[in-house]
Amino acid sequence: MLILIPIILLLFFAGGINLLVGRYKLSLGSIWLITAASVLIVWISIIIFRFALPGGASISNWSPQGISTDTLVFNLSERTWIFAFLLTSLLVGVIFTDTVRFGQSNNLVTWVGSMILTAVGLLAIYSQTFLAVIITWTIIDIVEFGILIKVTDQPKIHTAVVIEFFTRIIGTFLVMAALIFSNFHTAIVESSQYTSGVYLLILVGATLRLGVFPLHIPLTSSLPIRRSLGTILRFVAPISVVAFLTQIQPQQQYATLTNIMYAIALIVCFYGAIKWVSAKNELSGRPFWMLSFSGLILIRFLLGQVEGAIGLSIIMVIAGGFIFLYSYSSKVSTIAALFLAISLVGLPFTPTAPIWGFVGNSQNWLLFLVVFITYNLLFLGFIKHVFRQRDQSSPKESWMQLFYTAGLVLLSISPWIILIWRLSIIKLEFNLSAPIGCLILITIMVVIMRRRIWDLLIQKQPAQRLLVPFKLAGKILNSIFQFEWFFALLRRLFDFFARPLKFFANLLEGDGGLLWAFVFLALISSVLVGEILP
Amino acid sequence: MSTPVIYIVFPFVLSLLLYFLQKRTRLMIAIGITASILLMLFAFLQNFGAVWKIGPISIEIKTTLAIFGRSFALGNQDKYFLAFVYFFAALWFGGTHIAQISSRFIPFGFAIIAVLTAALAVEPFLYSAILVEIAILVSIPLLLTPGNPPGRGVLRFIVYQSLAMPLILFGGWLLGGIQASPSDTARLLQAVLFLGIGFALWLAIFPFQSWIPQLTMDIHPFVSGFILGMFPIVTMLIMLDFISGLVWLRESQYLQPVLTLVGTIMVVSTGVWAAIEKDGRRLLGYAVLLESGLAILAVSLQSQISVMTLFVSFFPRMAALALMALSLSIFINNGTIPDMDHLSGMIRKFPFASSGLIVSLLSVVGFPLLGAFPVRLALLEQLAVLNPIIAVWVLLGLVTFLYSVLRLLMQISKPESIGWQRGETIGQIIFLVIGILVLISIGVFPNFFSGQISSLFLNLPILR
Repeated sequence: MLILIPIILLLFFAGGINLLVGRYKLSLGSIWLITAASVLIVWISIIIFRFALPGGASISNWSPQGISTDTLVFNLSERTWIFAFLLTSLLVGVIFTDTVRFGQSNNLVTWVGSMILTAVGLLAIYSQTFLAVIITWTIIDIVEFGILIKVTDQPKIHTAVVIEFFTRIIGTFLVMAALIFSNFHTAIVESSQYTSGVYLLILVGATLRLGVFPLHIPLTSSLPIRRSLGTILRFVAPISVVAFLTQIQPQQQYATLTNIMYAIALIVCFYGAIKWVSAKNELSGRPFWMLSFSGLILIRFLLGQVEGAIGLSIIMVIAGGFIFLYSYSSKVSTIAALFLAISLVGLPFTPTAPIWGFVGNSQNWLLFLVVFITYNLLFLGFIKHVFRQRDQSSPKESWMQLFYTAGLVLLSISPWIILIWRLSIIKLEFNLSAPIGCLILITIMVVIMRRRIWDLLIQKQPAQRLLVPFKLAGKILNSIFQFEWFFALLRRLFDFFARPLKFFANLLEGDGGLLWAFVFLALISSVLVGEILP
Repeated sequence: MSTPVIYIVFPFVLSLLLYFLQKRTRLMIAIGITASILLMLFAFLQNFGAVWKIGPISIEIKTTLAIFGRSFALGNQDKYFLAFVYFFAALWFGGTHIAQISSRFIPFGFAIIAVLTAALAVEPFLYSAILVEIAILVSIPLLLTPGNPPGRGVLRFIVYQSLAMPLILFGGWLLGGIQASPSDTARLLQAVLFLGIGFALWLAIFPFQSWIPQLTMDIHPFVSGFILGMFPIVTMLIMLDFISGLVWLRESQYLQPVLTLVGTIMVVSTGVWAAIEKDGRRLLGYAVLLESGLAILAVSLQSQISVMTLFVSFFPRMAALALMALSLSIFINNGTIPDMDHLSGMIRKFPFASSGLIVSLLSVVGFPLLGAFPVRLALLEQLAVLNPIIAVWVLLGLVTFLYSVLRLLMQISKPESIGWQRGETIGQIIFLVIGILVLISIGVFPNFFSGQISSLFLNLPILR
């Protein structure tokens, strides 16, 4: 039960802050101070728990009157602790860096909302049975949907919100179907062997829930919450899914299924990386950052390299969180960004060293090449967005800058805190050439970009011609991943079936309905007599 | 004193008394709620067939009552039904004022419950048909609006339900005739056929389901919620008693496939029809049909756990129906037709009623976190063990129904107006919030009250 303390603390602090603001007229700075202290306590408590992971909470007789054997188990394993820590680090980053965004939106709603979402996200990460996963995912969806519906005023964004909610729910229902057909009711980790159907349900359900399909206009665009609460909103669902996937034993015996998923994931991650690097700014590129990492994580999972997937998750959350919260640039924060990029590139003995783990045993050089280029593009995009010109017109007080920088630095050192407990695994992942190659390539590309050489090259006629097929492929992939074709197809199918169904309903509800009912009964009876009855 | 006197005679007499108190609405509501709660508590706490001690007074509570050679029996096996029915009667009577419907709902409601209880208690079973028919006739004043001709849905309800009576009487009579020679399979099949069609009409089983969405369009949602909450459950229990009482029937190798097929057709067809539906009132009807289909599937499994699943499912079913009926009533009372076009953007004008409608519909589908989720999950798991193909079809039926709910959600949550209002009264908000919280709490912690109510689940019908 002790393991639930961070969640209880977060909810308690969120409620307490709301109550305090309601009762006393506190200044925004005082509220921020209380919030920052609260999240720091939670962050420290998560670190303390890692020294000795306490026992979890479980409800074995969850079903009423014993009608099923499903159990609820909430616990932290050595692996899932990493995701819990990443999420709380992100929360600390959000609250600390919000000092430079005072007054830009309803800060209190942002902070309390972020704390509640993190609490719910932690509960999802703690989930160790299918039932717990289904319930906590649904809580995330409802909280997220509630927040977005409350703040959305544009019909286009509203449609995107509902479609995303629908997609996520379908993902949850697929995992529910996996639970129904797998007969594994007690714990996910126990279930090392799934049938191909159940495995497919899990993979597709998890992919739909990663929150990257369908690609849409950013839900939080033009909303003041876009940077802070928006970052937590975008990360909670994928983190909970990756935490779930790391508990599933990858089933490599289903080669056909794995190969199909593999190919899709490869295209997705490469496409996402290109879109990320070419995005106007980090916020408009955010869906592509998530898309690309989701693809990469899925590839690692399909290859059975869970450690690699964890390494990629660290980059996704920490580097992503850093750049999405990076709204005010300073010398220290730029240095912190560069330090982060170097520390996450996967050098030996660094927190993300396992991301190059497959280089040694991979027979497929095409795969390696695509993944290698994808990594390069992602890091290049990160650096490009770090060096982007920002609107720094409104001066910030020194204490605001101090805490803002502290928030970013805290995020940057978080992977190193994780490293303390993962050193034994990291030691085994020694690969120097790939990360060094990656670093050199990124440096060259950054120099080309900074010196405007790239812009000059791209404007040349032969280069323009060379880019035509790539642009075309990009357009095609863009329209595929937006899934508008899918929804149009659904609408067509719906219209196609709706007419005969309405006709049939009108027939039964019309004047001759009773007679028609008996005719249908006779028809059904004839089938029954032939098929079931003698 | 006997249980039939307490649960049949007393409520019926009370309904007659309340009928004459119609002008004193508040008093009538207070009496209605108090009587329902007392009857519920009595079923919950008292052991039927034992002595009831009130201080120095001891009253023996018999379980049977004989009238004109017919006997009415209400034993411990009926405690769940009685406690359940009177719990929801109290809720429904409490909501009368909130839903702004005629106060005559309470006396007629009591009378309907009393007659339906009699239908469940009467022996021989044959007479249930007549009593259910009486209950239908008693419900007619609730279905009509003074000065307006009855709608097609009301007429269909009376016709379809009344048609069941002669079929069940005839089937029962045939069955009685062959008790002496059960080897006469031809007549046995004829009897089962008549009874089967009779039950199909009662339970609105496909293709006799068309009257339900029509009825919900014709009458006030609060009344349709009550009628469609009570009748299908009682007739389902009568059917269970019937199957349980005939050993040859429950051991027949054809019962399971027939019920499975019928249940699956109901779930899938209801889901598909709901997907193209645009009116919230008709969705209420389809929700009832979906519940009936799933109940038949639970019966088809013929195991102790499946019967338990069925009985446990009645509680979230009724809670969702009550919330749905109240939410729809609020829209109608405020002059909003609850269809896709008129509900557009209503979440900003009636946030609680809109949430209540969506939550109740999601609960019916078995959406995680909500009331029916544990029972749907359990039923699907049991079906998957027995027949995975059927489980896939049922899941598809639920997903198509979910699609219709999400279509409604898309419309209802549209940002059509700037800013948020609150169109409901405080009383309505309290009822709606309680309804939503009840559905969430039984969805998240379904076993929370299990220990307290487990005595109600003893002596359930045996299907195998």
